[in-house]
Formats: sequence, structure tokens, C-alpha cells
Amino acid sequence: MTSSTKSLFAVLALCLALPSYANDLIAEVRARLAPRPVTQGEFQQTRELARIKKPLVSNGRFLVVRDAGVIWENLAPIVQTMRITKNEILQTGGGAALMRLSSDKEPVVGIISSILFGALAGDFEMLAQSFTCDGKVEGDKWRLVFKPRDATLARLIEALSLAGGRDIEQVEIRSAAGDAARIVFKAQTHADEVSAEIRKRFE
Amino acid sequence: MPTKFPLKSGNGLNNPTPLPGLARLHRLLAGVWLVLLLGAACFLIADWRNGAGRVETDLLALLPRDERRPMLETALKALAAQGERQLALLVSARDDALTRQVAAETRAALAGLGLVEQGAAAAFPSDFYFPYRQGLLSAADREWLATATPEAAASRALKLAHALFTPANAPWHSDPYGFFGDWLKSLGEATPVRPFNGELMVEHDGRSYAALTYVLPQSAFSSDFQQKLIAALDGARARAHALDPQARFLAAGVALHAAAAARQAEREMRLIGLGSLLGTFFLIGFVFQSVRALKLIAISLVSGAVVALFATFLLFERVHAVTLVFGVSLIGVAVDYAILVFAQHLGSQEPPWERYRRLLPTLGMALLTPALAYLALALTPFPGLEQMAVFAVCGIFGAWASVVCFYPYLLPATLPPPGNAGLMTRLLARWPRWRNSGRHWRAAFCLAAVAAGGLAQLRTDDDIRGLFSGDAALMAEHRQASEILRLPSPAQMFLLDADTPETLLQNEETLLEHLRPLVAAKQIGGYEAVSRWLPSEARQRQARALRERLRTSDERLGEELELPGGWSAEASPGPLLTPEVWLASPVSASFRGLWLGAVADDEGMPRYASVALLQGLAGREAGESLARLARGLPGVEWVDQTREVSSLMARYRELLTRTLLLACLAVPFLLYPFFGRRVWRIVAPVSIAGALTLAVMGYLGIPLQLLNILAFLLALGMGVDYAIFLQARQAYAHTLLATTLAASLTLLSFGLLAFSGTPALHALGLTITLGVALSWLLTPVFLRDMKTQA
Repeated sequence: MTSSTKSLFAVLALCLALPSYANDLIAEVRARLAPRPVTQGEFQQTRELARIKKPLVSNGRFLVVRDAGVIWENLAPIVQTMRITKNEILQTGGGAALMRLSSDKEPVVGIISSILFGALAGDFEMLAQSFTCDGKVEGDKWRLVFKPRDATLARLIEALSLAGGRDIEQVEIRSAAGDAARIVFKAQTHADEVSAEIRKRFE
Repeated sequence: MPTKFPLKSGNGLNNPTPLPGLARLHRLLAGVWLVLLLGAACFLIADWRNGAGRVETDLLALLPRDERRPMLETALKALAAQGERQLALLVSARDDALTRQVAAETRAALAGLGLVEQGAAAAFPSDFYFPYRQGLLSAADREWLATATPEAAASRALKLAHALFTPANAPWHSDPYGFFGDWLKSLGEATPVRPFNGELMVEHDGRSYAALTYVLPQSAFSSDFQQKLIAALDGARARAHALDPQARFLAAGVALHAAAAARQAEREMRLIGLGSLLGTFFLIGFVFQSVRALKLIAISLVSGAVVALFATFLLFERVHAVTLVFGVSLIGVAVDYAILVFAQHLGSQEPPWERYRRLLPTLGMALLTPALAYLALALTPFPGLEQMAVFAVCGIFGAWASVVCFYPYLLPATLPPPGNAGLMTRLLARWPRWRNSGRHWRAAFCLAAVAAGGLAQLRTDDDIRGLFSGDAALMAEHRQASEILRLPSPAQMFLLDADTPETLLQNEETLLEHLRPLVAAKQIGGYEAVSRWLPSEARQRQARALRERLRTSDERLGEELELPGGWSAEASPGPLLTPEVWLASPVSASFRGLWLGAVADDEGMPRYASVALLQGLAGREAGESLARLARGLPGVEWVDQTREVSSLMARYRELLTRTLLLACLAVPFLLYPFFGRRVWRIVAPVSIAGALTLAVMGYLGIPLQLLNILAFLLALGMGVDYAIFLQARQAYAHTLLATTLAASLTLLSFGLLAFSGTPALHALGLTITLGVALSWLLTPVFLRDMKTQA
């Protein structure tokens, strides 16, 4: 057996082993997270844009509702809201719609929203469908890195990194074009009931 | 085959010929005809495999060419050539993974057929367009930029910079305002297909489909290839349903319709051919009670087939299956000549040559009238009908020539007079006979009134779609796939032309600006046009000029984000996108067909042309408003192929109606030298039969269209023939027998043709059957006193 075929077998073996390894990892993280139907809190988001030295820091509030979507409110220095639902990504600022992507016009929206939702709400099973998963668990703390399986997706997203304990504490989204967003969550609270007021925000 | 038949076995010339000169000439002609026939037969046998591959099954090939519009022809031909080799498959199972599996297994099932899959490669246009982004602006951004203040522009860019995520393939600094992303997004609206995880996926009605699109090889229309393709698709479909009983499997492609048409044609050829042949042999055998008569009939029919096939394959690049089906129905007509000869031969004691000499004028006329009628088919611009005309004329000429050339040598010395001839004579004696009496006139008046009632209900319908309806299940699947994939209609389009490619693109852009509100109002689903992917130079320059307005906002962004001095996304405008570059790139692969490029216009001057196709076009009114729209725009023309073909059909229906009326008027004058004042006895039954046929069609609600009129011409030819036979001086009983036989066999063949699933053939068959049956029933009514010889 030549060394190249040996290494090929090693790669193959690794590939075959990977899914179950990833599934175990996700199961372990799942056991530590306490996912609830409604999560809200504050965030600090740092965008690092390619070729631009100054990191763009913004602060805001977020709301994650399982089965409904995510509302992402930048409050300072720019006021704008991004609402991610299954069928639509809506970006509003100062009362006006900046961007509206709907999945019946742009089918990729469904994929993007499921990824953002998966990352912000901790739906790792959904992410695992389109991404390979790697990471480690130490005590209560864990860190997961998702990389796209598909070339199409890889042109959009380079990697998603998540870290936390009982809650997701940090998320990093690296786009393939070189821009990145690092997010730190604070003051998270959970609820089991989805109030009518919250429901309304997703309509 | 004629070769296998021993020519010398029949000793028809048992009497010394009284006309040696004519006999020698005849023998020479017979020899030449035999050599020609054998040559044609050898050609057909040698060319068999090649010939079978030339059988056309594409129904579109039957549509007419509009010779007056060469540019339109080029456009339609280019589109057809592109469309006819495409195959689209959509598969969907209960979940994503299973859908992928079905797609993979379908792909595997089709491997080895030489199909080329159009994969996800062309689905990443962003890399190609990136260098040209300064000239690319979506319609909405163009409007926005024209009025935006520097503050608004800077705020837009900052919001994008601070957003959680921008779903663009370009980094923020190369597209700070998101214009390029918006433009790419506007491209995305053209097709619902998106590459994902290595498959092209489409979402529709809550299901997600994997789309497999193929280009078929050159041999797409050979029956061999089609059978393999159908078998592979059937296998893949069965496999999909085995994996998931609820799986969807949709296939759409011209080749599939062609394959279905070929199967149908084959089935009908078998039905009509076998039915006609069995009927012919049974009736001939029953009446003449002679095996040799059957062999002779076979010689005549085979000759007809050889000549018809030889001529058609020689003259046409492809022979259409519909021609062959129609051709098979000619058996009933071709057999007439042999029957006529046999009938004269029955119990006759005359020397054969004498009989022949006497029969020749009748035989000649019997060839001429139907041949002229069939030639009328060739007067139309419909390639299918032209082919049918060639096939029919050559076929009946071949059958006729063999009867004339070979029969004198092959006929048995005598045929026993059949016992059934007497029955015919008795029947004829009882047949109602026209008399100039009040009772008859009253009956005629009643009949005329009934006929008038039918004629009043007669309507015309020139819709081409009614003539070539395909397999219903296949059509439904095709429609569903077209809806999911949002495929444009291939029959209606805008045709654009201009002096230069640049003007052409500008004209197109003007058109699209008028179409955009129609899309918004949901009058049309969308459009496909080159300028969508390739903006004109003027539009690219306009976009760059608009971006000049961003200087102030760029500076403000620079300060805000602490960017190095002179930073500007607009610093270098980049190259302009040209048609040459675009056409050479894989991104244009699916749309190149819309760009016809350099063509000669209708006067032969060089022009540049393109087409714009529409998706989800609904209703006739939409077509009319689009036609109005095109009239108001420079270099744009609305082409509604279905409508144009239908109006062409109407034009030719009118032309042929006039021809038919002229023929009706001409027949009495042509026949007058032969029959004198008896001519009315020939014309009357045929005319009445024609009127009654129309009345029946009126009552049955069968619309009058081009093909019915053509069928009328054919029926007229045959009806006149029967009348001529019967009015001819000699051998009443025998001629009556011959006419009865000939008419019943013609009725059998065309009657079977009326069962054809191709509406065009059905119309032909039905009208001819009605017309021939009526004129045959009416002919004896107008006979003079009987003068039997039997």
C-alpha cells in the first residue's frame, strides 16, 4: 500500500467516523444547554470588515422564539432591526424597510434564515444538515465550529462558531467574502410561554 | 416484394396480339418500370436503417413556414432547435435526503444515453459580474440613486456595515451600498432554481424538488434513442415510487412528446394497415375467388408503397410519422385500379389487349382526378401536407403504373364471373332512381331543408392547437413542470431587431421597462431577455454616472470608518460588459438562445435580433395588449405563433374553399366532351354528397377547417371517379361491382383513419368517409336506365 492510498483511507475513515462523532458532540452540548421556547436578552456585536481596520461595535436587544424566528435590534450607534422568519428576512431602519428578502422570490432566504436561526437559537440539528460540526466540551462549557458541507453554501459562509454553557454566550459568523460578526450575549432570560405581544412582533 | 413474384407464370397473352406495335411499346415500358421499381426497392432496403432514423415524430415539424418572413423564421428555428433537445426532470420525495437519493438514482439511470446535464456550474454569476459591478444597477436602485441625498446614501452604507449579516457574496468594502447584491438579487428573480448541496433545488407549494436539466444528443429524434430514453425514465420513475410511494416525478421535453407521437403513429399504422389489408384481401377473395387476384393486388400495393416511400425519402430530409399513417390509409384508394381491371376481366371472352385498350382511358382518368385532388394538398405552406401530397400522388401512381404495365402479362386468361354480381345488379335495380316527378321533388325539398338546418349550424375553427394535441398525461406533466420551473411559453414572444447590438439592447431595455408594471400587476409571470443579464453600454454608463453622486457620501463614510484617504468603492470604474464577453462566458449558457445575433432581415439587409420570452402568460386579452404594446415601441414585434399559424390556416381554408368551388364548377366542363349532356348525372351525386357532408358536420358540431376542405377535395376526386366508372358505357354489373368494392375499401381505410388519435388525421378520415359514403350511395340514384351485360 502506497502512502497516498494509506492517507486516502485515513481520510475516508475520518469522513465515515465524523457524523457519529458530530452527533455525539451535539448530544453532549444539548445536554448542557437548557433550550426554552422564548429567549431574550442583550448583545454586543462587533463587525470586522475586510480591509477596514476599525471594528464596528453595536449594542442591542434580541428575541428568539422557537418555531417563529429571531428579532435582532441594533440600538446604538445605528438603529435598525432585522427580523428573521422562515419565509422572510426583513431589515428595517428608521421606520423604512431597508431590505426585504422573501423566500417565494428568493429561495435562498429559507436556507439563510434557517442558518441564522440555527445559530442564534441553538438549533444544532438543523445546522448539522448543512454543516459539518467540530468542537469540544469541558465541564459545563462547550465550543462548536460549523463548516458548510456544500460548495454553494461555502461561497456564502466560511464558518459559524458557537460557545457557551447553559446558554449560548458567543457566536461568530465568518462570511466567505471576509467580513465577520462576533456577538456576545448578556442578560439572557427565558420563558416557556409565548406571549401575545411577542407573537404580534412576528406577524 | 415484386421481385419474388414470378413474372412469367401468368400467361395472359394467350391470344395473338392484334396490335404488335403497341404491344412492343408496352413491353418496353413495362421493362423500364420494372427496372425502376427494383432500383427504388433496392435503395429502400439498403437505406432501411438510415431511413428509419429519418422518420420525424416531432409534431411541430408539421407547422407551416412563413416564407415571407425569413427573419422570423430564423428566430423560430433557432428557438426550436434549442428547445427540442432539452429535457427537464423534477423529482421530489418526502424529505430532502430521499429527494437527493431519487435525483442521484435518476441521474444514474440516464447515464450512458449521451445526455449532457446542465448542472449548477452556471448558477454562480457573481464571480463573472463582479468586475463589471460599477455599471450594474437594479431598476429600484437606479430610481433610488437618482434622488438620494448624501446623508441617505451614507446611512444606507453604514446600516449595511452594522448589520448582523449581509447575504451577499462580496465583502462590504467592494459593495458598501449593496447595489451589486441588489442587482444579483434581481437576476435571481428570473428563475426559481437554486443550487444547494450539489443539486439544483426548486421550492413549489411547500414541496422541494430537485431539478435535473439535460441537453439531449443529436440523435434525440431517432426512435432507437427515444425508446432507450423512455425505458430509462420509466425505470427511474418506478424506482422513485419504490423509494417513496408519494414521490413526484415530472418529465418535460419535446422528445418525450415526439416519442409518444411515434408510438401512437406506429399503433395506428398497424391498425389501419392491417385493417385495410385484411379487408381488401377478404373482399377481393370473396368477390373474385382467385388467389392470383390477391397476388396481383399485392404487386400493385407493394409498388405503390415502394414508389411513395422512395419519392418521399428522396425529396424530404425527414419523413413524418403522420405522413406514414395517412399513407397507409391510401391502400383503399390504390387498390381501385386493380379492382377496375379485374371487374372488366370477369367472364369476358374478349382478347386481353382489346380489353386493355378499351380500359385505358378510364384508368387514366381514375388516376388523374384523385392525383389532382391530392396535389391540392401541396398548394398549402404546411410541410406536413406537402409531404402527404407527394406520398399520396407517388403511391397511387406506383400502384396504377404496375397495374397498367404488369397486369396484361400476369392476369389469368379469364376470371369466373362471380355469383354475387347478380346480387349487385338486383340491388341496383331496386335502388331509388331520380325521376322528374312531384314526389321526388318534394323529397328533394325536404332533404334540402334538413341539409340547410345543418349548414346553418356549421362553424369554422382554425385553431392550430385543436389539430395537434399531444398525449394528455404527458401534456399535464409538461405543464406542471413548466409551472414549477417557470418556463416561458415558446409560442408567444417579442422579436426585436436593430442596426447594432447596442441599439438592440437599448430597445429591449425600453420594452422591459414597459413589462415590469405588467409583472407587478400579475398580468404576466415574468420575462426572459438578454438585456436583463447584459445591460446595454448606455445603461452601464448611466449607472456609472449615477454613482458619481456618491462622492460626498463616500467621503463621509471614509471619516466615519477611519478609512485611508482616497478610499472609494468607486475609485476604478472597471471595464464595461460587452456582448462578446457575455456570450463567451458560461453564465450566458441558458440564455444564449434568446440572442439571435447577426441575421438578415426580410429584405436581406444585415440586422441584429433577439427575442424576449414571457412566463405565465394568461389569456388571449394579455396577448392583444402585448401586441399593442409592441406596436408603440421601436424595433419590437409581438409574435404569437399559435395565432399566426391559425390565421394562416384560415387564409388557406378560404383559398382552398374557393379552389374547391372552382373545381366543382370546372368538372362539368372537363367531362362534357366525354359524357355530353349526361354530365349532370355525374356532378349531381357528388355535389349533393358534399352539401350533405357539410350538413352532417354542422349537426355533429364538427368545425370546418383547412383539413376538412382538403378532405372535401379528396372526396370530390373519388366521388367523381365512381360516377365516371358507373356512367362509362360498358359492363354495368361489373363496373358496379368494381365501384362498390372500391368504395367499400376506401371507406374502410379512411374510416379507420377517422379513429386516429391525431386530430388532424381524424378530421381528414371522418370527412372523406362521410363524403365518399354519401357520393357512393347517391351515384346510382342518378344512373340512366340499366344496360346489364352479365
